[in-house]
Amino acid sequence: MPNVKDRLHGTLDALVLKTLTFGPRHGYAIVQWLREQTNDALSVEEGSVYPALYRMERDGWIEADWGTSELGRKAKFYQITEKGRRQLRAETKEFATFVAAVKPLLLPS
Amino acid sequence: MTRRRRWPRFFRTSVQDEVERELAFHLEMTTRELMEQGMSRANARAEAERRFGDSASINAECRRYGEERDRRAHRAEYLHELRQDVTFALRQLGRARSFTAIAGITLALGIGATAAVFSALDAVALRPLPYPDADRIVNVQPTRKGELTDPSPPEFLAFRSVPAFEHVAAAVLQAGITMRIGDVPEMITGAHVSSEYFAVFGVHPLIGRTFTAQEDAPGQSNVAVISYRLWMSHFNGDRGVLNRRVEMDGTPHTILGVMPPSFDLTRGSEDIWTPIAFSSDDATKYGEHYLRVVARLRPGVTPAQAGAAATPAERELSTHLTYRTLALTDYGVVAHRYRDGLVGDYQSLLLVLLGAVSFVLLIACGNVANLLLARGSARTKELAIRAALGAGRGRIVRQLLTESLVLAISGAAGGLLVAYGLQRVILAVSPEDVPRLDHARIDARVLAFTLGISVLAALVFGLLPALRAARPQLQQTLREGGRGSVTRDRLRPVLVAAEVALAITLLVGSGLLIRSAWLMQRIDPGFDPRGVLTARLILPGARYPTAAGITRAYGAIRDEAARIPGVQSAAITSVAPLSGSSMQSSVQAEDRPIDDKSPQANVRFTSSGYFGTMHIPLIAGRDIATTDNAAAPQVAVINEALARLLWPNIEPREALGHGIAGVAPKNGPKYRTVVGVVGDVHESGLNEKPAPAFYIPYEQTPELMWPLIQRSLVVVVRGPAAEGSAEALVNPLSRAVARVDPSLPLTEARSMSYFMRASLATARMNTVLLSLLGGIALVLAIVGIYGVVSFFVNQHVHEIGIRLALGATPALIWRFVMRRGLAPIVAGLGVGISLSLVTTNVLRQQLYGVSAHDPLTLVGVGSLLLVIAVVAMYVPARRAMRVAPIIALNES
Repeated sequence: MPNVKDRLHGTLDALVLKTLTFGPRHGYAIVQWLREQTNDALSVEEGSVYPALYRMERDGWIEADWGTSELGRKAKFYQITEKGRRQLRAETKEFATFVAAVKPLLLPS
Repeated sequence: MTRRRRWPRFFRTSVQDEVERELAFHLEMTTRELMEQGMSRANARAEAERRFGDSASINAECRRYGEERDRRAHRAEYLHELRQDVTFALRQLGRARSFTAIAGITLALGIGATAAVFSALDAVALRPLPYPDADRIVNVQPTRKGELTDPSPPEFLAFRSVPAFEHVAAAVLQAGITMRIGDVPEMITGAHVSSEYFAVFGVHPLIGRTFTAQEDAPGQSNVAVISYRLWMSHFNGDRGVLNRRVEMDGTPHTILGVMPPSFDLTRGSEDIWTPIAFSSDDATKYGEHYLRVVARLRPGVTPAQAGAAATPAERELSTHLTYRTLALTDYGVVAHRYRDGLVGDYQSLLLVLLGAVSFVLLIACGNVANLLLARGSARTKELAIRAALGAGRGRIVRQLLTESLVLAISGAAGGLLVAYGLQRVILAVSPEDVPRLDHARIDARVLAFTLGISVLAALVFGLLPALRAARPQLQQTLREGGRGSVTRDRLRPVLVAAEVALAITLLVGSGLLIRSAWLMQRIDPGFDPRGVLTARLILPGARYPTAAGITRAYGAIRDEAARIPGVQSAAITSVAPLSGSSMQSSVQAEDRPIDDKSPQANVRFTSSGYFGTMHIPLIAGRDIATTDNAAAPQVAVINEALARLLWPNIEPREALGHGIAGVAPKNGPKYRTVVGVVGDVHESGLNEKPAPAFYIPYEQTPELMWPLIQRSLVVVVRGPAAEGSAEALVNPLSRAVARVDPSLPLTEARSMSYFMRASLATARMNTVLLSLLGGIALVLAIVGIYGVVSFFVNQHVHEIGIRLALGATPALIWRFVMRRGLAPIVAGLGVGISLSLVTTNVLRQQLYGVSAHDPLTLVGVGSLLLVIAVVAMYVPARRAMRVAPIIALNES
């Protein structure tokens, strides 16, 4: 069974990657999207998304390019790579296993 | 330099900038959003920062990842470019087939020869001996006024109690032990050693055990330890060999153990070790200096300290001598590293070879550099286009160097084949006692070395051409139609001159060696070796306890040998000339005062007819006669060298009738009368001066000598002078010996011609190997000369065409080409000869009869190279003379 801390770490990565499957976005847009989709339930520090982005960029899961944002300002746009998609599939699968393992304990039907 | 230092900082600013801008963008966006919801700017900003979290640590983390990302990207880009360059290089080399072939073969020769010599040097000298803390193993020898002698049993026993030594062992090497497994007697080399012998070397047996101190005693000593080599060759590596009994010198011995293969240091080293088993009697044999003593030093003790520490014991011991001519302070002890005695001269010899081979490698590099320069000129257009398309100079240099590296590594791959072959040659021409030479392999160390030198070689031959080719002269080159400019040609003659200089240096060295080898062949050894066979016999003490029995047996063997059909004469002696064994004694003339300066001379125990059999001329007096037996008056025959040494003021023939004495016995010398004077013989080596010698009738051998020489003498028979006739006598001789005693094997049955060849073995190894390298160097240099002249002609076809059109004769063109071609050769010749005046000094030890600066060799080698160079230039020069003016002019 995966370590719980790794699990949370992997989950943030997976969420960010998932966000990027809908198209390239900058960091602020990713945070915003996560907040909206989860109705502010995920109260992570917004800044913690950035180290995750840099790490995933280092590992080649995502690529970045400087582009112009909606308001005409220079922003760094991230884009998921093929490697990133594979990673997302793997993470999703692991997450499903995790949930399947934990659910009967926490939410007995 | 500055640029390299700026790189990391450059990264940092860039990533730092990136992170700051990105995070600032995020904060700004959040602030704006909050302001739209009605907050004041200041409040919105504060709220945004709160939501963001610890920006300093986030910033640092992002920067760290960002920098890693950049490093990875750079590495990936570099590897990508490298792969591109290698693919491109392979394609380029594949396209230029003849260039690749010539450069590849050249490099294979250079790198292969270097790798082969390195592997030999590595096996013989560089690798530590296969013993733990091998530096602590020493040979221990007593000294008399600084002169080394061998230790006696009492000295060995005294050394044992010196605390500077951890273990001390005595050994007597025995060249011929009769071993009998089943019915066949066989001669093997072994040693009697004391029980600590194996502890000195720190080597444990592969199987079984070595003998204990209890077994190293008279009556208990019928045990033996055998070598891995013997185990393999005679027992098929069968573990059942333990506790088997083999008969050695007539007594059965139980095999206790087998030593590991690493204990076989030379191809001729011992195969069996038996206890030396000193008796209490041996402990008083002060005068018998026949041992070899090896010791393991205590940690931290130097050999010099150990020698000094053992000296008091040595001096104490000499007070027991009843017949002592030296002062006590003249006695000393010296310990020197075991390795130095073993590797000795071969190390310097191999280093000379390594030096020679590095010359060959440099010449090879010179050649390839030349080829690359030629190619570089042909490729200027391609490179100019690449540069014009935006490739930086560094990028082009890198690509060209990659090409060189690919070339060098393919050359090295071929070089390994060359090295493999050369290893065989080295092993075949080297003397048998070079330690561990047969352990030389192409192993990881040699591979690493080969890879190293090929990278180095690639830099040496590739850097200059690459820098030159990448020099941006775009406009000029493109305008010239890519023919390359003529002014660039200055480097190539310099390379040729350097090659010639190196080749000359090598050739002078091999020339000197060849001349000494030739002179050595012509040395008159003092006897006629043709058709002479020698064989050593060792009589086991168990069946031959008395001197009378021993001499009777040898007399009978001599008579049987003389009766062999085809044998002209037969005789007995104690040591055959040039056989590598030696036996010396101090010698004292009766009419000279007894002093400490009694000289050393070879002593031989011989039968009548020895001088006749060997064709050693009798100068005066008579030969030893069959009547010179134990009961007759004591006589001796001396050689001219001894006569001159003892009586410098009279003619050698006048030495007849004088008295001389050998080893000084305890109660004063016993003199024998000189009855004959014979010619000198090169006993210990053809290139060494004949030593003074005296011959004693073997029946008058002092009684105490028999056990010391293991009751062993040599039978000498002379057959017809034809090649191979001596070898054909081996079987008849062994049958003749069997008629006297069927249990006696012949040991070291060798023809005198064999010993003649063997005594030249080291010289031959030098000569063959250095000549081989010299030959390779010559060929490479010639290829280089040809290439440069050929290139010169190609570059000047246009000019030559004009000259011919303007009425120049072919003779003038010939002179024009020759002048250009010969200039670097003559310059190289001058430099090479001056260089060789210095370098040949390292050969001085190996030269015989020629000076290291032999003018004949210098002139000979110089003219040889000049003649061959002219021949090499002839082909391109003839092409130049036949240039058709129209074609040459049309080409532009």
